[in-house]
Amino acid sequence: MPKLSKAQQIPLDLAGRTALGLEDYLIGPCNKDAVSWIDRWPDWPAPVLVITGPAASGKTHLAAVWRDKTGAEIVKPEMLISRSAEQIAGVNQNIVIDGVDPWLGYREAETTLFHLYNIFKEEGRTFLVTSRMAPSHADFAIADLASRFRAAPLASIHPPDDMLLGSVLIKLFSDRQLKVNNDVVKYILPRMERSFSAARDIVEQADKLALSKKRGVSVPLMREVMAALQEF
Amino acid sequence: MKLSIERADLLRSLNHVQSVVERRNTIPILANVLMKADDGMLSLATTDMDLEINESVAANVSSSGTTTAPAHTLHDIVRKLPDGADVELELNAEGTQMTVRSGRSQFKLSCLPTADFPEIGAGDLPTQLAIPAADLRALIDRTKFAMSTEETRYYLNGIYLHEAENEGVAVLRAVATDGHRLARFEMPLPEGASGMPGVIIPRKAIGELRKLVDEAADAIQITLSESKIRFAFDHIVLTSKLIDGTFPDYQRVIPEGNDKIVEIDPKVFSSAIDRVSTISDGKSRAVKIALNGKQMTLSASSAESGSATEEVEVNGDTDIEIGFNAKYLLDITSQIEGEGCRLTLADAASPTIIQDNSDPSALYVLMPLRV
Repeated sequence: MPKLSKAQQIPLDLAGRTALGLEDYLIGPCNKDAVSWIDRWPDWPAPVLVITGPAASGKTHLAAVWRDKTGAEIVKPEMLISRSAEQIAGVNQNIVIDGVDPWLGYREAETTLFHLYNIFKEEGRTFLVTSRMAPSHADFAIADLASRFRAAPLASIHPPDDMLLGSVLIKLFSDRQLKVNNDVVKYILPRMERSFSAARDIVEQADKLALSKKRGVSVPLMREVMAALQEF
Repeated sequence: MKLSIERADLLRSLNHVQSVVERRNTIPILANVLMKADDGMLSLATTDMDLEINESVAANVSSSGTTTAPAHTLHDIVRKLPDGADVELELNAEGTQMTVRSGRSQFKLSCLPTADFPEIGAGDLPTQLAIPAADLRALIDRTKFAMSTEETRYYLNGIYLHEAENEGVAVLRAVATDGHRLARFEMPLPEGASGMPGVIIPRKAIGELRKLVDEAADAIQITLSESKIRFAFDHIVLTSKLIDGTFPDYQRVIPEGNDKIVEIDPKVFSSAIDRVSTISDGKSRAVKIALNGKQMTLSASSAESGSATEEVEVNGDTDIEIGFNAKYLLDITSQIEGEGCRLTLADAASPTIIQDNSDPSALYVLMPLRV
């Protein structure tokens, strides 16, 4: 029989809702250029704007800010193979394709994207795509699409500085309705990888461990979280 | 203010209202009960600024007036008076002292000005509905054990009451969870509840309400807004602020694809859990359940105490081993009044659904222990 005394309670997956409003978007030196492209709409030099940045850097959030500003519709990138360019263009005057990079390199998806580009250009409309990879680094299957995307304005989100990272941690905790002291953020910051995705993982693990142990998020709890993440 | 009242009547009302008063108060007036005597009635009110209770009781009022006196002290005095006694309450002319007289006993209590007593007020309460006392009792009992007591999870420190739909039928649903288990109870949507905001009723209000509902014979009138809720019945009005938070999207943690089903007598099940868990130690009180065809084996072990196993017969044909906190299992099985309870499982790391075979109104979700 296994030893049960060290049994650990698995918590329910009660993840909070991510706040995606404009007022929730945190601006720092690493993303202010990207934000300025959103502010500049509809004065874009091309029918498409590409937002690039590392995982969890806020691409979807910034796209949601633009969606709220323009009334755009978010379409799933899978539609690039299941629907025609005309059908996608018919969804809304402005559209967002969130997370396009897995589909770059697929001729079928790229063909739809190429037609979509042409439709929007012809009709003077705009769409926005988000991608972890900048078009200059992506391996396109269709050269004409590559040249158009590489010439399109690029809103890049760079790795965050400490101040923004601290604000991001507080926002991520607050999305989960967890109030944390400054001590907690001060403890995490020098010990974490400098990335948005690390911040997201840390907050998620802290939430889960706190829920499992029925404790608040404190420095001692964060010590356990950081140790567990390092082991991982 | 001067009045006389039968001890039993005063004690019953004081019992209700004193319970809202916190034992430790940094604001002195919050330790007091607001008393208003007028027109043959004595009204008593207490508050902790989040929860307020007001109760009226018939009294022989010879001189109307208002004051506030220490609630717990007054309650203790009245409690210790002999049964059947009459109690006389009289406020001095300065309004600073209230005399409590009964038989040969006399007490003088310091009073604080009525004007200092905070009333949370209700404002506009647009939603109005009524729930029979027995239904409200069931709604609370089936869910309250699952409320969180972890203060930092303030949004889980209560019962989420909201309008929902189940297979096309509009229902009033109550949900509580502490992140380890979840309890859901529903009843047909009462008239007036359509369009109501989803509200989280704080734990303390639930506790007080539950005590009061036991004495209620008729329906409880409920009025609410997005920030406050009021329960009224007989001569009692309980008003509570609501928790300012968002209840999580609980639907996503209620599994739909669990395919391992077993049925068991809840009394047999809970007795076996109770016996076996005598051995389990630590906070988790872990009990392992091994299902093998029609046999369930419950086991527990402890480094200090030893080990325990018990076999129980079940209806079903499934093989799985899963660990649970014994207390959580007992909390749920104690709410099952029918003769059969159904466990719907997936695997040792996923949520299990527990339901009363004869009562579809309640559903429980329990997360396992990683053992």
